[in-house]
Amino acid sequence: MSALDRLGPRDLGFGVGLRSQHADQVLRGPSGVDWFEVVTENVLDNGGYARYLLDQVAERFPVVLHGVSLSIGSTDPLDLDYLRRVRRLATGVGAVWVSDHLCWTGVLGLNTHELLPLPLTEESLRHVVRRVRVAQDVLERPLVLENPSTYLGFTESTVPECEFLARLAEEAGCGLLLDVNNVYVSAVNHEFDPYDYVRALPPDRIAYLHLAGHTDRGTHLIDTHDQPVADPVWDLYEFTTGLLPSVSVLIEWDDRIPPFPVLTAELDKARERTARVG
Amino acid sequence: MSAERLRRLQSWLQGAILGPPDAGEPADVVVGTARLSAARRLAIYQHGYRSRLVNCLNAQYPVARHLLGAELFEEFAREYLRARPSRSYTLEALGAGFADHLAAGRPDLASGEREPWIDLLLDVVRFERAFTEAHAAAGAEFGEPPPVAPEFGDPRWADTAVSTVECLRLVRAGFPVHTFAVAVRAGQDPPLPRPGEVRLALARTDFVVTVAELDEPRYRLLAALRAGTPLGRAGRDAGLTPQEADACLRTWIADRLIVGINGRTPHR
Repeated sequence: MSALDRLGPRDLGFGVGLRSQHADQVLRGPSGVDWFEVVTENVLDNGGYARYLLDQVAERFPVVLHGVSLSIGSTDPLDLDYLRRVRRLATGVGAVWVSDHLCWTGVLGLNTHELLPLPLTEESLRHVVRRVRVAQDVLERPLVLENPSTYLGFTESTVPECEFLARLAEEAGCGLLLDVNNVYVSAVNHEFDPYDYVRALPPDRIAYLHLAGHTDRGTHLIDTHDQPVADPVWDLYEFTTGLLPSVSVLIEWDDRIPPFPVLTAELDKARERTARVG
Repeated sequence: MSAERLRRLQSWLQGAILGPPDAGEPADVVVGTARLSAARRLAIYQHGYRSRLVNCLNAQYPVARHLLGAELFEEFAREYLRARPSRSYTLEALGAGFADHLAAGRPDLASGEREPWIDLLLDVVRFERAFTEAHAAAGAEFGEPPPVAPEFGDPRWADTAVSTVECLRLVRAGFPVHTFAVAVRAGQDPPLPRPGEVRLALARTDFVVTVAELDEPRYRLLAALRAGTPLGRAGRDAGLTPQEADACLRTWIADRLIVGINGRTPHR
């Protein structure tokens, strides 16, 4: 089976991030949600309610583990203990995918907990490809990597991010999590065409999509995940779904979390936008 | 770009984010535009780092924040982050060293006279850390049958070794911080607690953290049992009669503070 085949299903439907405050609606069902994503680090060492809720949800719905601390681009050694824990968790809950970000979060043993951008060069591409292969060996499954929102780029960068991701996916055999809002946020912040960016990605490598709200700070956009998806992001989403054979999409809303019906209304909007493309 | 260059670039950016707000001169390294200069782009990450982690400490220490006021708490939090930046993949561990950091820097050490409010602050911080850990560690909520202890009088009774539930935390404080914390968490503004030693056992029932106040002998017994001391010796050392130690054993089994006997743990 090829790495691409091992990416698994690409048609989970319409999902949201799992939140304890929505547990009643989720478990009582029907919730109008097809699948759930969980921040890996929130449950990795947890023996309390967070893990209990994940187990309950995983019995009823497909779940995806979405990490923020893999630090795949760091020059520090990969944390193999962390990866083994993620593998055990993913196996335990039957996770459909294990995803994280194309970024680094720290060096010299520290963790900033920020998704920091990489200088995008041939050398850093080789560096990340090597590390993705190791991570996949430990995880015993393909890794799925997300394009982050970025606010700075490096003078030494020579490879556009979309090309970097496309080549990374091909060379390392990993999947891509295309965050449509992040594309838009980065496009505004770095003044590139978000549609060209999406066109440059290999559709068959895209495992799933993220949608989220952002905040306009006048001179730049911040990926805040605290409000509805903006109209230009919906338009870009509609364009993106037209390029994909099937759609798994997730609404991220991590701050100022709204009542469950507000979230499911966003999902309904995603369904409607997807249906328009046909 | 060589691997060494990538390493140096990452070290530089991390230093610029973790350091003082004006640390790092980004113009040669970071692309600036007419709309957003290199320095402002770097400042977005500097601000994002501080606000995210200070917010995390706010969430982990709401009672200490109430005690100090938001401004002073956040100053302490920023100092803590500068002195002890995160080394963990999880934010759950972010506040683990906060009490030790505050204790090491207490300003009354030099004068040799302890300021009671600092003792109170440290007790509150230690209690809140224990609360966070009790909330997240494995509990006994899954309905496994309680372990069976040897009958009192059984020749094996004194050698009984127990396993305590993973989420059990023991806290000794010079103030009744638990009642103060409950009131603050309920949105009240209670008077500062008066000095008075308390010994607390934090655990969990139905995913809600529970706090039980223990007297000195029972606190010592539970601490010794948790450390693996056999029941007979732990009871003797704590100054309890065998009957009293046995009663504690059975109460704590019923309360799910003890979940295993002699290495057998029905707890998952």
